[in-house]
Amino acid sequence: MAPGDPVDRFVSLNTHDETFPTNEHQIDSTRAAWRHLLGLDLPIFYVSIQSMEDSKHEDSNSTVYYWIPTIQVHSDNQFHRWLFGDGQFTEGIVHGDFGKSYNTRQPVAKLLTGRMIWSVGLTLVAMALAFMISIPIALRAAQLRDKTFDRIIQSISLTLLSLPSFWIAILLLTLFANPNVLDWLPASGIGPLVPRPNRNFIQQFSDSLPYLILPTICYTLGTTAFLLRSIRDAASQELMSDYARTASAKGHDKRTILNRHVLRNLLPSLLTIAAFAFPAAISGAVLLEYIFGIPGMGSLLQEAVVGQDYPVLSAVFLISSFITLSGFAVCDLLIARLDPRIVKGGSL
Amino acid sequence: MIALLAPLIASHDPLVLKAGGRIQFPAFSGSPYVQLIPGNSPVLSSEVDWRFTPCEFKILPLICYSPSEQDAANTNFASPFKSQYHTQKDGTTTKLSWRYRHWMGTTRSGQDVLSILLHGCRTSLIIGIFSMLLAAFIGLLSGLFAGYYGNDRLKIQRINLWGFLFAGFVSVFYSIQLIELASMNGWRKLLISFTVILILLWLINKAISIVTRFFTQPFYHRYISIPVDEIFTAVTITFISLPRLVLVLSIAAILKPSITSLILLIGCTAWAEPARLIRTETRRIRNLNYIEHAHAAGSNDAQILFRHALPNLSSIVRNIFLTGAAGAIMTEAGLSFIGIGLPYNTPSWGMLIHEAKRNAEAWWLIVIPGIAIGILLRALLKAGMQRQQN
Repeated sequence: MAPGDPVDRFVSLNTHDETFPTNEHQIDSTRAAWRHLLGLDLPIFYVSIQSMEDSKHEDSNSTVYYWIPTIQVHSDNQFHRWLFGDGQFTEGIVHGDFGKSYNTRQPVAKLLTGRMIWSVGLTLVAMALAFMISIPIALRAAQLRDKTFDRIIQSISLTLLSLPSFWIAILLLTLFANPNVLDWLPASGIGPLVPRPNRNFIQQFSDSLPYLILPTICYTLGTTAFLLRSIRDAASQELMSDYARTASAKGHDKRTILNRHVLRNLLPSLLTIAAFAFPAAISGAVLLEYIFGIPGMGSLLQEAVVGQDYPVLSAVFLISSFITLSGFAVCDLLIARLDPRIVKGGSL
Repeated sequence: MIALLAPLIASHDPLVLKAGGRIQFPAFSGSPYVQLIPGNSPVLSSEVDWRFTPCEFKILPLICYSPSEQDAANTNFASPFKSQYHTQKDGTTTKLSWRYRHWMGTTRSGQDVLSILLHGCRTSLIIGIFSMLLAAFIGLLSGLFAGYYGNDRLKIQRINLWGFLFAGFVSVFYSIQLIELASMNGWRKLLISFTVILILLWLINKAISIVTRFFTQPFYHRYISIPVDEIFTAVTITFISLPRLVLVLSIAAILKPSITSLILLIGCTAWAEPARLIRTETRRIRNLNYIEHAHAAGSNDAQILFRHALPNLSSIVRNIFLTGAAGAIMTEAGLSFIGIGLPYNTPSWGMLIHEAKRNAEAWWLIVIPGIAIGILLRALLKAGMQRQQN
């Protein structure tokens, strides 16, 4: 199925075993047995349009059958096994079982739960930080549109957008986690290698805090660049609208207009931006976790890709798209709550 | 420019070589062999150390290293500012002269960084441009259709819709059966199957147009609208909501690593966002006066779409293309940084940064490709965003 078949990995892993067959023919048969055991010999998805001749097992000499189409649905395929289980390794994701990892032989769900917390937690913290940084700056830039401050902010955000986040991460690592330059922060991991005994939760947190500084900075920078641009564009559009002009005609000062009128109207678009920034943040997290050695979903995915671990691969993919989709749904609900006009289908 | 000329600026082979009274152009000839001494058999050009081979006359490229060439004397991260060495034939090492310096240092196995940088620029641009061409093509077509037809404009008689679905099914089936019968493969298979599909579609449509005359009830002839826009939105929103790198990574794990597969992969996953932008723009345009005029003047839908609507979309398409190419280059760099997607020996910028992860001392491996990516992407993004504001 894939160029690097996971079965080949099994075979190459087990060749040092003495009981393992050395005969080429026997190796082939073991390979086939493994493939059968893992269900990889089955078709991925079995809905096929066939001629009658193929579906009929009795010999029919008439060539007419060759030209009559039939539709076949076969339930014994990889997709069905993945969904409903094969009764051996997995019970299927319908029952909440993602199967077992090919490489570590652990249940995937167990692998995932510990790692999801790091990914989602770091991403959420970074998103919150990025919003806290970028909203005031972007509003200020929108207010001073095309002035020097705005230009500087625009060029900074453009530069940040064009620099890959993994590059910034490595640069920071070589600067601040390098014994020869500045040995301030640890290079990778999420806590001391040997956890100190008898520490309560707060002490544990303060132990692992220096490990989390650089990742958080990198997570935040990438999102901030995106947010700065989009919030500034949205806010400057709002500032040009009628109600903002009315407010200024009424004699409100600029600060009141911005905080009381524009910011409220900006909230739905802020939420939309957040929903769109979230998948991008998760994508970025894959690379950053790989660099910083954070045991999150990204590094799990990278390991699964390198090790051809199909159950882990599909589980990570499923979970991450589920997270982003639920992010979209939550965002939609919140927007509907904030702005009842949308539900009514009125002005929009 | 640099990307196009990369093989000429940074290459192992000499540009002009005069040896034994014959003038040769090894860098241009395309043949790996060079006649060094007349009468002797030709030698492999890549095995000659051109820097120190005495010739009557030679012009070496500006950077006389190809990206895959390993300089044995300068392995293990030679710094650009410290002295670099050269091993002579008698075994002594001398300092490398400035002409043959590795201006931006070397990697662990002694590859010249500047050479990889120049060739990597070409790799990045090829991937960026071609994957975006693919994505823009898919996005443009689907966005145009969804934006123009909306949910209620594409109307078709119910009987015709059924007939078309039936005809499509049948023609695909018979083309596959025919190919199996003739046991063909390769491009011929595709060609034959397409022609068979087209011929059968035409035939069956003719047949159906005759058959439909017998269905006289109005039920069959009522026009129903196909919700193009809804289908489009459903498909694009799924593509957008999936984390892009996760999607690309999972598929890249299954595909064989090569530039072509990476282009296809990025192109097929990046079309959704451009398509949505084009759809919104088309929706705005389709209500403008000139479209109505064109309609009144008797143009059909295809003429309106491609002759009247498309030219008006050109500026937004250009913006989308530039920013999308930047995104594709970024994805490629990220992928090759992890070490997935491109074959091992393809020169790319992400690979250089990956190399730096092994040695924190080698700052030139981090700073230089990073700045190169930054400059290229900034230029693309700036060009893509500039016209949006006007």
